[in-house]
Amino acid sequence: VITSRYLTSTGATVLLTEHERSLVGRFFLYAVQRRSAELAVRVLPEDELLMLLYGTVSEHGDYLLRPVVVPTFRRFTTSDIDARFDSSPLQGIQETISLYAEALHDDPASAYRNAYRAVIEEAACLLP
Amino acid sequence: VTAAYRTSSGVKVQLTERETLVTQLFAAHATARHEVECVVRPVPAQRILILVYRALHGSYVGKDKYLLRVLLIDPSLSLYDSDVESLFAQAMLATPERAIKVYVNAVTNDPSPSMRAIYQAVVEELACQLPE
Repeated sequence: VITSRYLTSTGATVLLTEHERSLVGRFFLYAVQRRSAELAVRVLPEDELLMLLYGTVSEHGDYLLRPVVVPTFRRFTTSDIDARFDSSPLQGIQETISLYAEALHDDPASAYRNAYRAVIEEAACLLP
Repeated sequence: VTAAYRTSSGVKVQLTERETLVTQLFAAHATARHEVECVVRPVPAQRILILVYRALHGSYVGKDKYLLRVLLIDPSLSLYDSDVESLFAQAMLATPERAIKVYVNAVTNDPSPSMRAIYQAVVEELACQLPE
């Protein structure tokens, strides 16, 4: 059941199911605790994944991104969510794009290749 | 504590039974992905296990070229096979130089001092994985 619509930074319209909306909401609360703002949500239904992109501003005024890719079939505990954030180190916009572009090239068989592309597309829209 | 271990940076570590089990679980998945474990370093105070794998396949793998995948795992988590797979997939393959850059940036960028300490430990271990 589709319960909400979402517009990503690339202009794509995203439809979220109730479960996906609930997941986005839970991760959003943790992002706020980490002084990060939600920048984009992309649904990858064929891969059963959500790509969540968060941003924060560094002490030096640079924009930093933290992409998180979440399996939608998973029920997340509090510590699960923390672990997903921790394993995605904050990087600058250009560094994020380069990192994911190289990963796409180097690991073309990754089950997350569509999610990597989504990160690149959304991050590219945030470039100055 | 069930296993004594020395990391590539020379740090002496001891793994608990749980950490050993988690390491073995991830090692089995790494083998299935044609990847080999090259670092296990627990950061007990932060409940994090640093695992680094080296890819034996991929478009940038050769005699002198290789790719690394860094995983930061909370060993207290209940992990199913699908979780392990998704954690591998989220931790992208990168050249050693790129991986170090990512974590050096993270040491600078992360607002949490405890996470900075973890990322610093990752940098130490990755530095030992650079080609000679």
